[in-house]
Amino acid sequence: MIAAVQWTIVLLASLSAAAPARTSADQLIVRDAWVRESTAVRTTSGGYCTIENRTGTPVKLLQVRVDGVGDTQIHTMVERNGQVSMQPLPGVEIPARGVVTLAPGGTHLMLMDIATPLRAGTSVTMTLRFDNNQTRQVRAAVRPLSATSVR
Amino acid sequence: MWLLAALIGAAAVACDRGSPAPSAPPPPFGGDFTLTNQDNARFRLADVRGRPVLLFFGYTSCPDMCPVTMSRITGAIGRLGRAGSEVVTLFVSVDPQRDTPAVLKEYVGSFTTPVIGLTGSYDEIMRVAAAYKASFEVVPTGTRNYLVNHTSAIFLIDRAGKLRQYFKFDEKPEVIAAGLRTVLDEKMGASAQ
Repeated sequence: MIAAVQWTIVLLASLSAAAPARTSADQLIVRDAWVRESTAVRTTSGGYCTIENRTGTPVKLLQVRVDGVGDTQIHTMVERNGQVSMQPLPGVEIPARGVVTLAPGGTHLMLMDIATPLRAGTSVTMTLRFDNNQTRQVRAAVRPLSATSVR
Repeated sequence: MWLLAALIGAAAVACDRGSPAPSAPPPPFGGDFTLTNQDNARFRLADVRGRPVLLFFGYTSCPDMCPVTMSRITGAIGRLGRAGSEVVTLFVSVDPQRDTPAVLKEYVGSFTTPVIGLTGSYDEIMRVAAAYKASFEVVPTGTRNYLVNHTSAIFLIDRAGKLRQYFKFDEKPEVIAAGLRTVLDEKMGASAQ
């Protein structure tokens, strides 16, 4: 877990780089980010987004942070003998010129220790960090519990 | 226990082949039970006898699978037209420690499809899980929150309270709807209790 100070330095460095980044903003795109609402009691929720890699090299999503959420992990679902379990993933690879969607029922973001309830109709900042030193910061729409997509 | 797990696995594979199995022998388990609903009132499965029931196990802090299961059930019931209003959906919590009636009430109220949330003592939940050959286990996460791995199946119970079949949680809504139509078309016999 990167300490808050180190994390801030990495973020500032990547945002203020004077030279062109190895991956420009339009080469690695995060869109349709959303999370489900939470409550004071339900402090765990799910998060999703679509990541498009327009470069010729695979890129790996390493870590996601959501403002106001204590810990966000990437999880996939494994079914064995009718029981589904969550398995944390160390990362998700987005193939060269490929698109990966973290979607309900599949690999998704698990938001834990949500400090303030996420209210449907608002949005929250989601920061994604990749293995090519790129980060992307997007607004994730907060959707109702019954939502299955960003719209 | 392993034989039963194998039977569940085999039945799940049969569902994978896409054909609902209304004519297959119903699973030899299930049955009546009593838990506490979101209004803190006692609820018996027999209370809804005469109506088809979809039952699944989950918990309100389930970040993804349980909302997804609810959306599949909503999709299945939506395919039935007016007959869909006869279906009772039961959500049995495998996390009675956090899922009090008040917590259940907020949770089930978030869905447009009517769903009855059920909780109880740990022993009561265990008994229902055992009756339906379902299992669950608490998974620590290294945070204040814990997760619960749980049986993912959606159980279809007929108007007489008998378990007829179960579906994988990611079964197509149209397959679940077909199973519901089969039990909806059955009338309660004069001899049914």
